[in-house]
Amino acid sequence: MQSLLTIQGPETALFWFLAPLAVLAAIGMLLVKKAVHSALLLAWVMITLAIFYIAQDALFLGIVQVVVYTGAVMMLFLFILMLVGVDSSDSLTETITGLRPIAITAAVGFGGLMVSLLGHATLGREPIGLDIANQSGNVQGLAELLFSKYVWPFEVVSALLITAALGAMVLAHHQRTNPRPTQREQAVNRFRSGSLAGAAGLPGPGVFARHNAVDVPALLPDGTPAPSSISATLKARGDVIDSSQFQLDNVDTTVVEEK
Amino acid sequence: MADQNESNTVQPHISNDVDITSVAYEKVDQPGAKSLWAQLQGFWVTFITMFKKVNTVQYPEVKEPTAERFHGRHQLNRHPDGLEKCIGCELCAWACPADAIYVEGADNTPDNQMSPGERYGKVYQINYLRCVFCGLCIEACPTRALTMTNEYELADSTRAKLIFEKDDLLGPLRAGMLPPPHPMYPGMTDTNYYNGDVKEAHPSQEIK
Amino acid sequence: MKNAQLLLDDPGWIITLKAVIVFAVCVVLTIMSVWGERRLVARMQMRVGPNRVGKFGLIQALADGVKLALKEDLIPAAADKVVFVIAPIISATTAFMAFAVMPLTGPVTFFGEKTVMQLTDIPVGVLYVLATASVGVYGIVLAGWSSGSTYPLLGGLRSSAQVISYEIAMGLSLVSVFIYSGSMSTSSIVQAQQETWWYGLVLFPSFVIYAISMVGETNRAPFDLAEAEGELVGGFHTEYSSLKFALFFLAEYVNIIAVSALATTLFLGGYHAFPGLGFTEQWLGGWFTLIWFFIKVLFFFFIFVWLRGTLPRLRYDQFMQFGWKVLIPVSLLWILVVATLRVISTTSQSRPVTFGFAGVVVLIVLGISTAFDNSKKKRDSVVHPTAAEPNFAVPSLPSEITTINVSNQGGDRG
Repeated sequence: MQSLLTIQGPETALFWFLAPLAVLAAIGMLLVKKAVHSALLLAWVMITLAIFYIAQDALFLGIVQVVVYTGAVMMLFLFILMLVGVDSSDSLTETITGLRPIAITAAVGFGGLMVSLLGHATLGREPIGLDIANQSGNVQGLAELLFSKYVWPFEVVSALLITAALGAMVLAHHQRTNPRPTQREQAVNRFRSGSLAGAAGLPGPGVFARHNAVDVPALLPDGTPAPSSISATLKARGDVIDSSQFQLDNVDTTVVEEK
Repeated sequence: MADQNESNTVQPHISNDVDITSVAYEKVDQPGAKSLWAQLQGFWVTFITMFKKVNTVQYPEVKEPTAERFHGRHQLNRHPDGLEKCIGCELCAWACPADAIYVEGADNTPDNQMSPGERYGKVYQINYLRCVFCGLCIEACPTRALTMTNEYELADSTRAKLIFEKDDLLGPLRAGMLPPPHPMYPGMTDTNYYNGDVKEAHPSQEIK
Repeated sequence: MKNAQLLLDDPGWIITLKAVIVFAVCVVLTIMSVWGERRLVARMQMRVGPNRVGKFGLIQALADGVKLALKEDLIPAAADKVVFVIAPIISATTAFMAFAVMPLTGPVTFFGEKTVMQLTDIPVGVLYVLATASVGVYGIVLAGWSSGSTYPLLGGLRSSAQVISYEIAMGLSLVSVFIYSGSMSTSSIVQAQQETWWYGLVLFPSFVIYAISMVGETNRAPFDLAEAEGELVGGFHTEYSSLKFALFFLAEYVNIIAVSALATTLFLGGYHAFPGLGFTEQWLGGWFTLIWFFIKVLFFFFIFVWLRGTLPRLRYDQFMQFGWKVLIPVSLLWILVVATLRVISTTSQSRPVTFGFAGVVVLIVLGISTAFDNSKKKRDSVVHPTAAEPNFAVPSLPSEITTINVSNQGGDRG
């Protein structure tokens, strides 16, 4: 708290302007109903954090936070959300039993880990100050640490991530058990299996010149209506017109002389 | 028609003479992708086109003449003495595939002689919202009264304005023509008119 | 860090003024480039293009903008209202933000203050551009999602997948520039190019990869799959109208200018003159460098237009394959080569070793590519087993017709 108050000028103003927004967004993330809104608020929190990093002279970290987390990780989240749950009625009920205690345990465990890490890094240590850390430039200083002292953990983490990605691919990959039919085989099958009408593609809707609306079934060469010419959506809605009036038997074909 | 329930599909005629699954077929070589150089040549095409003369005509300011036999607005022609050629026979209206022409004929009387002979077109309308400019009316016209001009600027703001009346369609009065109604050329019959014997109006035709 | 020092003592009002100028330049350039693009594409198609509004049609884009602004602003009933409004704002603002780190001129005197025309010079400037671009994707994705309609959703997903994929290739192509210049700051990279040649020549493969991926990144033809009219109506902005649509329109063109400016900065020597014309940089008190900068940016813009006028749109799977299976592996390989060359040249300083390594790499690449080619040929030449001759008549092919007896017929033909 002491150090916060000593920072003067624009940085303080920036902090007191953005920090409440970030906290609000973080709380909102938990409370909003739609998953996409939640993801958006999380992205906003990440961007605010990045601004704080930049304000504290950790330029590289701030920018990378945006590129990696906001730009890539959150975007993938959004991607999945949109692909899977476009429906606005996202289910809020628990589908897997016992998820709540697991989640609470994980959260507490993660929090404890963070606290212990931060304590390990700060308690009983004197900060050496930015000037020494950034002596040869912020990026160069980070690079030196990453590629010398922390190169082993760095590589281990990357190996872990690659393993995870490969594992996800292996789990999600669907192996074909039979060879994919070629176009020729598909064509042969169409002609060999029952209906010639299907072989040439389904008929379009509309009854020749008498009625060409999409909700009127087409007539087959023998004069019967073809239900397959109507879109399944229209059928499901019950929007198909009774086609019996268009059948050849019922059509009045007598010619009336005009006087 | 007997069994309508199952006749939605046409049953294939399955012939066992030929097993089509075992018919030999050759793989056709697809042209495939062009070489990189051939693809780059496309860039040269668009680049060099930039320096070519453009095809655009600055239309309202520059009006290029149409083809000589372009089908444009119709014109009702006159005989050289000013009488109308149209005899109100309605053949053009009957020939019209788009039903765009409306004609009402009427009898010529000695004090209201609009065309040589017995009849003239009293009402003559062409609806340019329907007209397809096929020219069948021109072919149908027995007196060469109806021809087409090269005029193509036929746009307007209301539907009514695009129904052209007889006044809009009649050709202009040229030198030697007298505005009808006026009597026929002295001593000439409608056959003489048809044969082109009348070259210009006679002074006696003029109604004072 | 010369630019950074020059920028450091700028008073606040100059920084504000610069921000306004950068904004104004972007907007004016957008308007002019819309006009320029339409004129150029028209010429490539033997047309004239807009030539009615103003002299040579110069204010056509402005007139279009006014028209857009005066149109009715529709929000679909199924749309998520808040996100629907935020999306175009994100798109447009992030597009402008990228320009903050572009060094537009060398040292100049600006209202009595010695400075450079660059809003800020941060040590990770190029990464900052990538960051703004990656936030800009949100605009597209959210627009697609919030419209509450199928085509925009598909367009938004396509577009974001495309931008993310090509951003990887783009980022990788930048790595070799970082390695060579030893910096991620735009102004230092420009300076570093003054000491060697332009990186467009030195790092030619990187330049090509960047040039390709910048087209993919901006959703422009031939990579404009997100707004493939034949498939997706208008893509992510199908449901947008009025000013919100205008913002997307603006963002697209500002993005083009921004990636062109980055290409200029990283590969074509930024604001510096062409080699041999260095004396021009002193003209107009240094302001002539601004003209050099925009000549190069407009060159890239012309390439964009040229591509649009020449190439048809790619199929989506081919486009993704090209990105992931060609561009990314090639850039990774190239980074390997550049890094090795760099280490060799900075440590041993011996040319034979450098050239020897380069030769080995070339041989390996050639070997791999020929092996790949052979395997491809083998796969193509698989002959399908032919069954017995069919027992019905088939029309013979032209090559099979050997004898045609025509002498007895056609005597009357002359």
